[in-house]
Amino acid sequence: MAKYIIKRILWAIPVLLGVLIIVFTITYLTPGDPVQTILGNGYTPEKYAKKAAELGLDKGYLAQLGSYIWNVVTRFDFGKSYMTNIPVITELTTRMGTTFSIAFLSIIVTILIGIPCGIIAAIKQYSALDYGFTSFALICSAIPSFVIAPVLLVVFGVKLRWLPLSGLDEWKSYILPVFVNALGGIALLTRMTRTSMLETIRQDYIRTARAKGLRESVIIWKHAMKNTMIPVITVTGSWLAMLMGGALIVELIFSIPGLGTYLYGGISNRDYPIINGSVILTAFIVCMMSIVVDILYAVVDPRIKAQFSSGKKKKKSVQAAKEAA
Amino acid sequence: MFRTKKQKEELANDLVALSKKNTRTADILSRLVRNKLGMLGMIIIAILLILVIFAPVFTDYPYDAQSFPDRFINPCWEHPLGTDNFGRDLWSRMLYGGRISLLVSLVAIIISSAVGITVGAIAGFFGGRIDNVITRILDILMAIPALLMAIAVSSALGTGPMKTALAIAISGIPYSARVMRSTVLTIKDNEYIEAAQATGSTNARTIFKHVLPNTIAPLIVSATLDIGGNIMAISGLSFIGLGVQAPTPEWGSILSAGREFLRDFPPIVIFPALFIGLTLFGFNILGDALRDALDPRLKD
Repeated sequence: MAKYIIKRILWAIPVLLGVLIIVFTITYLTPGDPVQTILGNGYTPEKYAKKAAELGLDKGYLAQLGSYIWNVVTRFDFGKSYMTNIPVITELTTRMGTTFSIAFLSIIVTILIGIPCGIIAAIKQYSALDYGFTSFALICSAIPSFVIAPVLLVVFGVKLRWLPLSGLDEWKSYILPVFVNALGGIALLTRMTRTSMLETIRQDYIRTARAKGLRESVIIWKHAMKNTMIPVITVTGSWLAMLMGGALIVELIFSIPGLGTYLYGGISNRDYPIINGSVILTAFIVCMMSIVVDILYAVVDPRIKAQFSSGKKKKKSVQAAKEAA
Repeated sequence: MFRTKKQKEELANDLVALSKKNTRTADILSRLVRNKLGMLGMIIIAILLILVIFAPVFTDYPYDAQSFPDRFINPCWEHPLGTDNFGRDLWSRMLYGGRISLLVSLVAIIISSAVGITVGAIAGFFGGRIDNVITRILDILMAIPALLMAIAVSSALGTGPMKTALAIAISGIPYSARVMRSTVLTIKDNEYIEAAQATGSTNARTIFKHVLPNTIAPLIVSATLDIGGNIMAISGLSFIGLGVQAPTPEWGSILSAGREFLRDFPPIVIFPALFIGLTLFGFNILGDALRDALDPRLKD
């Protein structure tokens, strides 16, 4: 197990390096001259050359890429914002918590609602509840967050005045963004859990459990649950990645000072250090989450654990066989 | 729905009879036709496509004709969905905007599938070191959330329908390559592939004649589901000002432009939202039905 976890963590290093290279290359290839943007109109060639040298933009692609990677890896230095001259990492660290806490709360809400709904829909297949949950899930998965968010904002913020319109000053301000984020996830998880549970409860070992006369609740929650969870964990992991990616839209609508709004500002001002920094940090968080998901996966599914311990055990069993012979 | 059970059985049987040559396709088609939800999806998509393709037939107004006195008219006989803040007819903006949304989504699917199929087929078929390298690169690309990737690429490429299509396509490539790779891996072990190679078929011939035709089914499913996802991504990009921009109508950009009027004039947001939602819904349930039809194990 430890070997599996270490292997998984080590693999994240080349992936993140690759992400660094790709993101840097994309912004490098972007047309437009950052020096010109910073200096505005009316600069002398000397001034231009000085600024370009200061930002390291006068060097070639490889040299720029090399120093970028070096700064990020050794000092977490993503450069300074072209516009404000504030180091990108300072902003990133203060904003990361906000984005992550919303994503985390959304995932918790998603799991707490989505999984039970899916299980109920599966064990009461073709009942009114099943149809209710399934159609709710189908409809919700067709509503993008940028559609539902403004509508909820008008209803609960403007008309009813129950919830604040923007910012994150009190606990109430978390309700709408978390709900908007969770909605699609709930839809996804309900459907996934339902399908997975339906597949599981048709298997022979469930029939055996029933034949033994176990209570239905024990069968579902103890026997079927573990196998049901395997695909559900995968989907939850990929949903978290989507949430981190989609944070921009939700944060923009609710004016939340998170990674998304920071990235948005970077895009509108063509502030490349900001774009690079936020995308790379998000990819880093997604990578970490996928490691956690993979470890959870191995905890829930002994077959995966066995795959990684099999090397040693196989050798042992071969040795034992030889000794016996 | 509108057919009796008997009529449906007949239709299914006809389909079977029609394509006796290829019984698997017929089997899939008949299962698809029996799926009520899937047929509903197909009908929704068909209606949308007809409305969008033959837009000039269904509306008398050009999508960009501004008329100041006619601003914010509620839905009425003259303007079925009302008018926007420039007095433009929302119904015709929906129809012409749908052209852009659907076309961009389709182009994106074609590009990402073409690249994804090639890369995935190479990785899956040859295996070994090539597969290893390709899988690692896909891992890297997938570490960046798809929407962020599209945002980064389209901020580099600039705005406009085809650039948006390219941005979305690039963000979709790793996913379609993954689907293709795993499909090819399951096909590769079949005996007919071994037979083809034993009889001296070249790699290219084996891939094109024997492997690719058998991967079409899962690819169609993933493409159908992706069209919905792409429409959401395009609208999302337009919404944050990176996708398609005014005056070109696109559902996401119409929605985004109308957001500030939501409080006083809801139709300007509700209708584009409805069109996006219906399209997504249609493609989602059709994709689900296709998957069920292709994988009978999941059905009772």
